[in-house]
Amino acid sequence: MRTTLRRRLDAWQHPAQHTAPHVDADWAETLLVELRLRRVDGARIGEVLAEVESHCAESGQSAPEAFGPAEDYAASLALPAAAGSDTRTVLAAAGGGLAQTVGMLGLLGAFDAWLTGGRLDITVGQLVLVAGLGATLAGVAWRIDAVLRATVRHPVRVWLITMVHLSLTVALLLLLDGVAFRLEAVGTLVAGLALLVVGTVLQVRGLGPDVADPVVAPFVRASREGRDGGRATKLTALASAFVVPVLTLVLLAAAWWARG
Amino acid sequence: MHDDAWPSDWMRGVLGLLVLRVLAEGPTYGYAISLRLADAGFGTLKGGTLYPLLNRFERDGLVTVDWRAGEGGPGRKYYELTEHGDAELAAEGARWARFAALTATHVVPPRAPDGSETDRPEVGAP
Repeated sequence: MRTTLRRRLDAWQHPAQHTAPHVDADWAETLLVELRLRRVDGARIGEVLAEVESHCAESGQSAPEAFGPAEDYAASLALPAAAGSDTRTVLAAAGGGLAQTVGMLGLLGAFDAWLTGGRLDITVGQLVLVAGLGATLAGVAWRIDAVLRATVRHPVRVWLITMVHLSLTVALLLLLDGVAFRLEAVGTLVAGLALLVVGTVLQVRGLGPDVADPVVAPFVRASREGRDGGRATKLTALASAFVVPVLTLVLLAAAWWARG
Repeated sequence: MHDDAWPSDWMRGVLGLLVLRVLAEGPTYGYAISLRLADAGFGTLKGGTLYPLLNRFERDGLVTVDWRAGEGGPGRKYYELTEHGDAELAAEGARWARFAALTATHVVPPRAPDGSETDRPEVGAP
């Protein structure tokens, strides 16, 4: 039982190695990542890997010997991108995340103001934060391929840039603390709630029918490994869409308890 | 005979036709195609050259594909020539034959029995 589970987990985590045991693991992973970056669908990636595996197993040649660098091979295949993987889809999902975040912050601030009978101060820093987040998300969605490629190839560099970006954002939020305008508590509560709902709907809709899109070899297309892994990924993606709403509820309850 | 060393420029030009011709003998898979061409004297064909070509054939409707179980391996992807592929082979094959004949007569002029060059025969453009 445990062996079967481990085998399934392994197949899910290392699809390249599982599908192509005769192919050098690093080469196969590079090919898989390159094809994923080109948004080729999982079943097609499985076919490509299986064909390389078949060629290497029969010829006794190594994959780099027979196919050259994995990046070049992926490019030379000129495979089409899967449907529903364009910039608009990414933008809708990212926009959903932004709407959820702004909705949560508005809701929490307005709830606190409502409990104390005051109004909600919106600082210049908060406006800059929202504008900055929106611009960043739009930029990432616009050049999503380049961003993903950079993240895969230079993870440390991308992490450093993200940290610098985050520090600057927080610094601006704290420094620019002058009040830009005041908002009425009840109206902001309603607007925040609306943003949270719209953001969550956008996120769930952005998942699409094939969010998991597992890499499967031609003869295991309908196997339990593929289905189990697919279901697990879909549930994880669905759950992630509800993280912000749940967090908002918890924080609202905490604020209520603290004030009460 | 240096059959493993045909200039890659020449091979690039004719490879599509060579592969279509192998497929005209019946459905087959990538590695078998490369063996068949090696046997015919065209040298060892790299997988990195062959499969992108087969992929293009598939996209252009020259072949249909079918996965068949292999012995212990992950299975083999069989390619079968379509009518369109067959027509392509016939038309391009005939053009290639004219081109090859023209090139041969141009590059290596036929010699008269006394060893002197004869006049080049007129060869029509394709």
